[in-house]
Amino acid sequence: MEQISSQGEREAAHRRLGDVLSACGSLLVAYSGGVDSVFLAFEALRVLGPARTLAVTGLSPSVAGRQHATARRVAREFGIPWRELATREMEDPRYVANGSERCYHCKSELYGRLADLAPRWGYTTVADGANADDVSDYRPGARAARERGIRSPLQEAGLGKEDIRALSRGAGLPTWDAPASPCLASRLSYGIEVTPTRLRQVEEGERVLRARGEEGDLRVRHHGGTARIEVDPGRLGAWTDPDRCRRIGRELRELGFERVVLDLEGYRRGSLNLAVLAGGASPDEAS
Amino acid sequence: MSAARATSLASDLQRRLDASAGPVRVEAAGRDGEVAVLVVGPGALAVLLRPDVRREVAERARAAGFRHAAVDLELDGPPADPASVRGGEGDA
Repeated sequence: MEQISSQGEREAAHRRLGDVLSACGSLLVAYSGGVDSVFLAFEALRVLGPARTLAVTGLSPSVAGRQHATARRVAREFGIPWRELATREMEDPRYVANGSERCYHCKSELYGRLADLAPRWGYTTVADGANADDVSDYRPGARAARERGIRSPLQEAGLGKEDIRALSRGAGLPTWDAPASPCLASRLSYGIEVTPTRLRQVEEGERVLRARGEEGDLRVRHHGGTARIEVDPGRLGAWTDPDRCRRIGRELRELGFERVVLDLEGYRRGSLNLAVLAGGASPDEAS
Repeated sequence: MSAARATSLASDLQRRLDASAGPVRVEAAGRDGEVAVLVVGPGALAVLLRPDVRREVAERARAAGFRHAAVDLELDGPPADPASVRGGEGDA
């Protein structure tokens, strides 16, 4: 659950973040280009300086090109030292199988590589962008982080999502109001194998929706042959035009889906986790 | 199993929705038949997307054992003849 701090609490948490980062000495940030990791990298640069800060973006078919472009653009614009690192989770059959631990296997690959590389590159600490609101969710990715000694400075400082958005806005970061942007694999229904083709279908499908005027939180959920569209519930009124619906359906079928459907409830964070929760297993990262 | 749930939900929805929605066919989609797909004609969209109706349809779909309720965007549902209401096979 996202908690909104008072101004005073937010400022105090912001100061704590400075202390946490300063104590790290030098920092390698797992930098996806999302709201949280952009703010963390920005703050690390402010506190530690460019010689002791490095943002690293994992290169993977599961990262949307749009997200990657944001990561690169923000790093350049704000002078954040930045590198890319090709990850190999697609070579791990446990990840490809897309079970409830998919996120754990993916993060294990990324964090394992970063933890190995950090000392060789001269950095004492590796950190991710997990925030204080993430504590209330069970997240296998967080377990992978703990196992590899990855720090979460935003969480340690007590900064939640709304705090990070507010502080990002104040700092002029363009990501302050960016919608949540988990990896593309999170759109695949559990048990549907993760393949580059399916990931591209999802990415292109969401691009089609944006090109047709949808904005904010939206998802193309991949159920095998079926694409299930989730849009902001407030936007569902725009879907009463049959011609528009048919056009969008046709464009998504051209991407390889056999059937295209519109979810009647609209976007729901982590809606694919319902299957895992129903089975009594642990949910993966919310999406 | 999916087909039986779809048939049951289709009958349930047909009773609930007013005539302006026209006939509704339900098919189960997804790996486990987890998505209730409403196959309707173009005239049904305005009814199904009303906030009160969408919530109720989603709740009824869940009660019938589906995890998601969605409208097929082909909009090539059955013609406006209530007698044509039936459940369909899933693609699971």
